[in-house]
Amino acid sequence: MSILNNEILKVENLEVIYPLNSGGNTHQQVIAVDDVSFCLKENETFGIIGQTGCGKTSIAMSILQFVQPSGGNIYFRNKNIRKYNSAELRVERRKIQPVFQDASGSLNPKMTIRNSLEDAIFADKSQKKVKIQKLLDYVGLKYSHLEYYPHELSGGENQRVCLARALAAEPELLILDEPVSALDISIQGRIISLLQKIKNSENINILLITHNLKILRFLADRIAVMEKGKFTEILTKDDFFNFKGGKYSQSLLKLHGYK
Amino acid sequence: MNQDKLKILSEFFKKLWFNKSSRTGFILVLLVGLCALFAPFITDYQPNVQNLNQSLQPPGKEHLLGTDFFGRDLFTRIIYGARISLGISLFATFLSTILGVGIGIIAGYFGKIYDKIAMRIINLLLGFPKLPVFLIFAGLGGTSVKTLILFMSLFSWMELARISRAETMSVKTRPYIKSAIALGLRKRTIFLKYIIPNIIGPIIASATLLISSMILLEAALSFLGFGVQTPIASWGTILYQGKSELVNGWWISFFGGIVIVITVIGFNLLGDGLRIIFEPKSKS
Repeated sequence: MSILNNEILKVENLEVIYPLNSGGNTHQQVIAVDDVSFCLKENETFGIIGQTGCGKTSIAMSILQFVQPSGGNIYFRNKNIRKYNSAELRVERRKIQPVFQDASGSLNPKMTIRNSLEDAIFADKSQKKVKIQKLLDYVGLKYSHLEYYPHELSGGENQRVCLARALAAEPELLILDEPVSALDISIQGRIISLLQKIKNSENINILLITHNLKILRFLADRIAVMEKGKFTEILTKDDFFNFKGGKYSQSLLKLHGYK
Repeated sequence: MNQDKLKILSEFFKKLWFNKSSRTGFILVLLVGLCALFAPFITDYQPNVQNLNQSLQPPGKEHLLGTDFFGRDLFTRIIYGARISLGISLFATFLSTILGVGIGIIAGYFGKIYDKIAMRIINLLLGFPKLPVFLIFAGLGGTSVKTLILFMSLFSWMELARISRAETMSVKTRPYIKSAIALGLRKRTIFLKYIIPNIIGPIIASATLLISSMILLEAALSFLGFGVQTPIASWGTILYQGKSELVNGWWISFFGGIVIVITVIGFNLLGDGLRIIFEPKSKS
């Protein structure tokens, strides 16, 4: 943690508003993210915790440029990603890879695992083969898994494939959006171990979005607590789990059985 | 992987065979298709060679479905005509599908102004009555097979575009498309490998149904004298020639019409069966 001053990602006054057609002529709006600012430093895992629907995923979608924010700026390596043109964006976005909650839905159902991984690697065929073998070993999958389709694999295996595919792009930032929420408890433990391995051995920074305190405790360095579209506080992991946060953080901990 | 594809194909044919309507449709279409393909092996007569001594012979041993005014064997003309009618209909359907799917995917994927323009054009074209427009078309481009195919394609892609658009709008929100975009894949790759394979089912079903509309349209236009020209045998020209012999040669229009009905029913049943296979929810 010696180079914490180097910022990878800086989000400034982010605001995401969704229009809501409520029927008739009235047009209402939902403020999903309201004036959120934070930065993610080199070799850091930054966690965002909050209840479902509080706006966590909207932050991730804005950083990934799948949602156009209504206001604010997002800097990645000191460049404002909102100002990229489409060609620049296509190249630059490979550096930020998402892993979603719905692992099997994140893989093309009409493609084998081999094809999904091959698409993620921009190299010639022989290099692709070598890299795929390395990735499979890394995430703990067998070579025979390559010939399967996503529906033939379990949720945990699909999540490993998703992680392998994300790593294949050699990202600098990994955005994990509820990466274990859809998995059963025993599989969750294995995926968390794999994520710890990625955090410790790869030069990758992680933005972890979750409502699962267990994964947060294992992975996060700093934690932002989010409520109704706003960050109520940003704490270190130790402060958060030692009840040094505000009322909402403490109630979250109590709800999950922490004392 | 090849074994997997074979497995998928055999599963597909099992479903096709299990469904009553798709099985009937498949048999009818296959029957007509094989007759068209192997026409020279099925009949000894030539479709366009006249034999006035045999003019207007009723159906019998020598001429299975009788002869027309020029003494040409009707059965021969129907199966050779199938080549022309099916060929034109299939080709026009192919062009319509390419056009419709292309426009539908662009409108559905990019949305906004692309979607608005595409939907306006679709609604505009759906409002046009086809036959009067074809008269103008024929006036400008002449009455050739090329004009016929062009017209049939340009005025039949809208339904496929609407289906492709709706399917694309649904597919583009799935996480695997987001992952593909995040990987920096080119739009062409995303369309060809990620979107089209996942929306192809309903498109195939609709395109199959479109073939039957094309057969009817080709027959109608050729009957009116705008499409395929005599003496070339097509189902439309057979009906056209039968019109003047309704009393003395009823079998010409009758069998010419029956074969169109059978083929259209075949494609409709097949298309409907495919729709059920690809969209199991629509069964209810």
